[in-house]
Order: sequence, then C-alpha cells, then structure tokens
Amino acid sequence: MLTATLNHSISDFSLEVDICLESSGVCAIFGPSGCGKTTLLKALAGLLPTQGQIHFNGQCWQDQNTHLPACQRAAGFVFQDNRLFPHLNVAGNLHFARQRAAQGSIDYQDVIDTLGVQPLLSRTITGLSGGEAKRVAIARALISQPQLLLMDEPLNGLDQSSKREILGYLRRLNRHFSLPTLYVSHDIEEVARLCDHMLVMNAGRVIDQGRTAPIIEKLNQNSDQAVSPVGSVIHAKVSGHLTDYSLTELDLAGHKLFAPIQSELSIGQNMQLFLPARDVALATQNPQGLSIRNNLPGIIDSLHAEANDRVRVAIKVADQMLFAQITRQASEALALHRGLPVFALIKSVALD
Amino acid sequence: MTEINAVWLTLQLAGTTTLLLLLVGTPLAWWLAHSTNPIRPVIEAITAMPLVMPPTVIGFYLLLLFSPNSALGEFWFTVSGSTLAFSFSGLVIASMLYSLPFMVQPLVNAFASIDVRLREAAATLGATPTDIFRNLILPLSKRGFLSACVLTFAHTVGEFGIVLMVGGNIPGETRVISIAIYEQVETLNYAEAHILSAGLIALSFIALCAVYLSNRRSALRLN
Repeated sequence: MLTATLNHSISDFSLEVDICLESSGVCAIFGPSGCGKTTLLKALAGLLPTQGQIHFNGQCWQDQNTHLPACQRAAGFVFQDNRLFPHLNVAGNLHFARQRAAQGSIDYQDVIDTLGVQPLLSRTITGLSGGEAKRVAIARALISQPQLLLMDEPLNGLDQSSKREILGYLRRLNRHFSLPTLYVSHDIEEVARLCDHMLVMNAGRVIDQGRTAPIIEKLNQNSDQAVSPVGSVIHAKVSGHLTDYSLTELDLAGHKLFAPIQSELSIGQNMQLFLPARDVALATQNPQGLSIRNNLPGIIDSLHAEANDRVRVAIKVADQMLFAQITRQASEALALHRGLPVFALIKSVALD
Repeated sequence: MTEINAVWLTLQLAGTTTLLLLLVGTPLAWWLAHSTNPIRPVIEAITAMPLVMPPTVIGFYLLLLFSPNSALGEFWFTVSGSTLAFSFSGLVIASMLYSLPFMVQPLVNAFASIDVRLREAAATLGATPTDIFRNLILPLSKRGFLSACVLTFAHTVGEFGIVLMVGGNIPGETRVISIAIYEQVETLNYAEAHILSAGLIALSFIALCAVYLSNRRSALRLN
C-alpha cells in the first residue's frame, strides 16, 4: 500500500496530491503533458525534495522528520530517456543493478529471458536501438529488486513497431512478476491496454481515480475534456489458443472474440482489451460472409454527436460498454436510436 | 651527464605536486562544477589566478609568507625545525599553487559534462553518493583525470620563475632542470644546456601527445 500527501511548487506550477494506492497491479498516472505526472513520480522515488508524507508498505519514506534518500527507497525507476550508463555495456549495466540489489524474489535470469535481453548482453549502449535500450532499462530496474516499479512514459519516442513490441513485453512483465507498478502516460490507449487502475491528473491535481474501465467510460461521456479517449476497455476470458492461426480465442459473456495470440495467458485467465471506437463498425442485421471475425450483439445505449459530422455510439454488450465512431450519414441511413439491437463488428487485429 | 640530480629532483617535485593536487583538486573541482553558492565565481577566479599572474609575483608573496616572521613560516619552523623558503617542501607548496588551474580546470569540465540524470538513475538502483562517485563519476571522467594529471605534471616540470624566487639553486634540494639550464647558459656551457632543453621539449611533446591521443580515441569510440 502506497500513501502519499505531497506539496510542491516551482514558479507558477504547483503539485498537490493526496493518493492512496493498493500495492498490486498496474496503476496509470494519466493526464496531459505538463500536468505533473513525472514530478509526482520523481517525488515518490526521492529524486525531488518535496513537502509532505510518503509511506509504502508500512515503511516511512518521507514525513516532517524523515527524507529517505532515493537509494534507500525500494522503488525501481524506468526513465523516459532510459539513462543507461555509457561507460558500461549491457551486461555491465545489469550487473551494476545486481550488485546493489536488495534481497528479493525476482530472478536475474528470469528477467533477462522475459525481456529477451540475452542476445544484447555484450552490446555497447550506443549500439542499441530505441526498443532494445528500453528493454535493457526495464531489465535493469527489475534486477534491482524493487517492491514498487515507477515507469515514466516508457513508450514515448519509440516508433510504432517498437511501441507494439515493448507494450507486449510490458504486459508479459505484469503477468509474470506482478510487481506493483505506477505507469505514467498521456496515451489513453496504452493505459487502457495495460493498467488495472488509473489516476487522472490535471494541472498538478488528481481529478479522478479508480478502475480503468469505468474511468475511461466516464472520460468518454464528456468529450469536451482535454483528456478524451475514444474507445473502451473490455474484459474477456481466454477460452483457447489457435496456434495455427496465431490467434487467441476469448469469451465475452458467451460470445467468441479472436485476438492476436497472447500465448503467456492460460485458459480461464482474464484479458483486458482496448477497443478503439474508430475500429468498431455497426450492423443492424447479423451480417454474413465477412472477413471480420468478431461480431458482438448488443443494444444501443446512447448516441453522441461529435465534431466533423461523426457520431459516437455507446453499445451495451452483456454488462460491458463498447463505443463505435461512425459518420452521421451512416447513423441516419441505419436509423440508429437508443434501445436498437445492433451487431458490433471488430477486426481481430484491432484487439492487439 | 652531470645534471642527473636536477632531473631526478624535477621528477620528484612534479610527481609529488601532481599527487597532492589530485587530492586537493578533486573535491575543489567537484564543488566548482556543482555548487550554487554565490561565492563560487570568486573561488573560480582565485583558482584561475595563477594562469594570468607573473610567476615572480606569486614567488614574491610566497617568499614573504614562508619567512619565519609570518604566521605560516613560524608555524612551519616550530613543527619541522626548518624554513619553507629555499626547501623542497616550499617548492612543492609553490608548485601546487602555480599548477592548481591545470589540475582543476580539466576536472571541472569532466565533472560538469556528466549528466545529473545518470546520477539519479544510479541512486534509484541503490547506489549511495560515495558509491556513485567511485563507480560512475570516476570512470566517466577518466579522460579528465588523465588530462589534469599530465598537464599538471608537465607544467610543474616546466616552471622557472617561481622556483627561482622561492627555491633558489640548492643542488639536490631546489635545483630543478629549468634552473640548471639557466645556470648552464649563464656559464656558457651550451652542450649541457642542449641536452636538458631538448629533453624537456621531448618530454612535453610526449605528454601532450598522450593527452590528445587519448581524447581522440574516446571521441572515435563514441562515434
């Protein structure tokens, strides 16, 4: 359990937060650039002198009389700019962390295998690609045996394919090490795919916090907000792996879904997916002969007019909410209205 | 070669000066590279003063400071039983002052060029400040240390004015190469002066080559 009451101001910016987080799962710190996400993370790690109190798992990290230095806090930090040591190669960087690691349950070789770092060990830091450097940085943080992992926009500055690759590693990491993690991001899709809980920040304050799915649903409702996601978080159970097709079969309230393979999930486990609204199409009748493999029957819950003659349709499927973004023309041609039964069509690749 | 004593004494002086300056200069350079104290520019200026002052001026004031009439001179005399002026110890102190900027400047540059963000990263991995200095700062400023030591050594070998003022010309105690050359020329003994002078030129050239070669090699490795 992490509790923090912090107060920090620099010139015209002030950070004022009072947070209390369960010590399990991945919690996003989400908000627009400059809202104080990184400042909060650095304060928690002890890299920034702030006023206030921080307690972690019954240990005092900071109060009126105490300010534990960064090296004594059991927090691992994955920096946005990696900060690998240039005078050491990859193995040297990992060794630096291992030499100073506390006692813990994280196995060195396991980290290296999970992050695919083995073939990089003898490489120099300057020779690594963006995605490789990020994997090494994450491995280095894990090897230091943290009890809390702080990640500052780990996907920022990576190209699309590296982003997808690292996102895959991060998911595997969460499932494998189940280390409590604070994940700073300004990208709602990342948050939706990765995080169980989220804190929404704006201008140095926490404006909302809770489970990811309902918060994203709430953020969807008021589209005029600076942080406006267009999509939904859904949960489905893994019901099988079609290794021949590289697909994982999921079950959502009796309906089948096919997603790109998630081999590290075992049957029966829950998977959190993000469905971007732009990737969901609607049909009023059950369509046949489509390449689209995912077809979920539901009921229209609400319609929202958006900019550029778009309409955002909320569809209730079992007890979960889906969003589809379609043109106003399509909405009128299909005569969509509240309460109408529809079929939501989703391409499997959108479920990555 | 009759001046072997002068050569040996010069090497001893330069070695001792470099070693002691390394001990004094490292914390000073660290402070200069990172302090936000308002008096830092003043300390910086004092450190750089020997670069612009005539050695005779430094020598003159040191001579006054070393005399048994001054507090330092008196203290030294009661502790050691001898005077600082015209002694090897006096030469070491004078050389340390005179070569101070040659030790401090390269170190300040080296320390300042190390990103504070790397130190933060090391701290989050559990490294204490002394651990960070030993295992991150030192290896990253290796080149700075090499430059500082070579320049300090070479500069001390080459000093003349200040040695003449503070040390005089006592064989085995203060008669260093530059003084020996001066005396050989004065007595028209050009052959001996040539050997010593050419030797000094070669030594300086080799030392500077070593510095620039090591800089070049590191630059190449980074590319």
